[in-house]
Amino acid sequence: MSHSVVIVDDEPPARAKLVRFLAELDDFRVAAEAGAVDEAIAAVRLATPDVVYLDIQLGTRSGFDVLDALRDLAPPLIVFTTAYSEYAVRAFEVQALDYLLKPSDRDRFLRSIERTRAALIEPDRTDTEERVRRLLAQLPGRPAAVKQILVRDSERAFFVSVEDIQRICAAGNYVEVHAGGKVHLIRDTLTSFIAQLDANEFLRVHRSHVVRLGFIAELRPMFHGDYELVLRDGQTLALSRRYKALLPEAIRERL
Amino acid sequence: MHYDSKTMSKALRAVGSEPAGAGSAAAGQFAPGRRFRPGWPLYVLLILLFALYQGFNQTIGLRNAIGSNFEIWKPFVSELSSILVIAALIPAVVRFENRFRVDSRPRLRALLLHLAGGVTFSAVHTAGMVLLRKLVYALAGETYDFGNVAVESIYELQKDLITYFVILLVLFAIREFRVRRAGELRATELAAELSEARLRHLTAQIEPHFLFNALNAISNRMHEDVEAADRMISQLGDLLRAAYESDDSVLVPLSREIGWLRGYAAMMGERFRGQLVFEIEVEPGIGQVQVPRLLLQPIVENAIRHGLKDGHGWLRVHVYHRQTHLHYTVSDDGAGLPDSPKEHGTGLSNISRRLQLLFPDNHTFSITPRVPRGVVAAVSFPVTV
Repeated sequence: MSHSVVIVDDEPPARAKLVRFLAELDDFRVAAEAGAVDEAIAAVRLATPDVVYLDIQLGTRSGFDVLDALRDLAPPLIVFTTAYSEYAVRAFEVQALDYLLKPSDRDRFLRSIERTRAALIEPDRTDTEERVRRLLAQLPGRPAAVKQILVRDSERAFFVSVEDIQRICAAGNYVEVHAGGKVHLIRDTLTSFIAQLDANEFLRVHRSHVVRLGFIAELRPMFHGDYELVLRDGQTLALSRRYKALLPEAIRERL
Repeated sequence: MHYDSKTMSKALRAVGSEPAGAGSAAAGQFAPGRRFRPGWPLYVLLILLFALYQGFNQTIGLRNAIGSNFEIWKPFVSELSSILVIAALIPAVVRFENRFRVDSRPRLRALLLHLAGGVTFSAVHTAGMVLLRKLVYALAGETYDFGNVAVESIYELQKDLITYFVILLVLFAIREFRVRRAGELRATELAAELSEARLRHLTAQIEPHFLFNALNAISNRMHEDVEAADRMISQLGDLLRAAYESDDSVLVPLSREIGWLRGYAAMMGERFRGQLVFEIEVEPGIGQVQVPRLLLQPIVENAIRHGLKDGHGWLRVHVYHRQTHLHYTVSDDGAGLPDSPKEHGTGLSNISRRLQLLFPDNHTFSITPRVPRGVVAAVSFPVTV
């Protein structure tokens, strides 16, 4: 089975080059190419690719605008491509996200492909999603986080203040929002739901759990480098090594 | 630096003819009560001190000549009366000279006017001086005798003409000094503008995005067409050379600006192959016309940046000569004018300032919507063919 790829770059030669490299590989096929933000959004929605090669500079707009518009989707694996963007490259490194510098030769491209293959067989990529979410939160000019969340139950619709939310967990096709001692059910995916929250305040600590930073009481070492998070309400959550690395440095040191 | 001498002398004249502003202390000191009030008590004090000094000199001179057979106050009155009247006349002389400049043309007219001015100056000075003396003598119960009016008047006239022309000389020197200083200021300003433009040019040419994307386009092109890739490398070389060039010329031949433009157009055409139409039309035979260096570049880059969203579009640069002026028009079919003018960037305000410095009030620069779509940027400035 081959992995489908969408290539997003505003310069045709840059796309042509990736197309040529990918054509030499049996396990990848190019599903679509896009040269602009809107085209890219449409192409990804239509092709639902496994991998997107995403150029950062798209005319006067940016590849991050594409990601912003696709937050409701199960995200594909993103390989950022950039000719030069010191700021973005630093951000990728901080979040350990994959990127390709242009121009790249075949060797560098193949090294990147190895990382991509490894990431594609990983069953749980929610930590990578979390890294992208953090990356987006760091960029200037992002939309501000919401202050309240609309909740509908069988009789009515009402607002829950984000300030009251302590933790959120995935439950099938719903998310459970724990706020002020109550649990609200909202029909959404966890990834899409937390996209509207401040990434510095709400941390993803597990593929199914997001916790408010101030609601974490304790971090207990377990076996094999895994940890257990103890929350202020006494609840405990498992924290795998991969997610521990995502905790803010200040917390890792303090706890 | 190589300035167009005609332009620069025009620029200097423009500075010289500016009305004296509030800051022009030099002129203000000679016009007490008009613009420089704070200075005029000092002015009066200086006049009195000078009169006192002259009085002492006169006293000592008289003492040496005729012994102490005179009243001590008389030489002081004599000097003070003369100097006070001159002091009162100086503002009038300044105004008169300002109206009819001593260095104005025709020279004969200036000379005759100021000869008449000098004679009038002397007549008023002598009359005022004698009146003052008569008044003071009368107060002291004595009578002042001017002596033979004709002889004394001629004696005063020759002294007054010298005084009058010394005043003119000082006024002329002050004005020359100010003009020169303003000229130097303008030259410095122009140099600063140009170095800013050059810096922008440098960063724009070797702007990392431009350079790396160009390299990426070449690295793709060489798999398709080795000759074309080779051409791209030499074009990129030309652009880098233009960017690294250390040349302080304000004006360069048009052919150099067009050389840059063609290289840039070729590189952009490759990077956005099939998406970008870049037309260049230059009137034949005007390659040697002297034009401001790096003026076209920010306009074209701006059109690319704002006019061609997502790298799709059409751009046309037209360079032509009409009568005394050279015209650049840069048209695109992009999204049109941004809502806020500041989005147009610093490059364009730099253009405006440089045009104003080089061709004060003898240039045009406009950015207007194009029908049916896009923007036209137009510049014109005087040239000699």
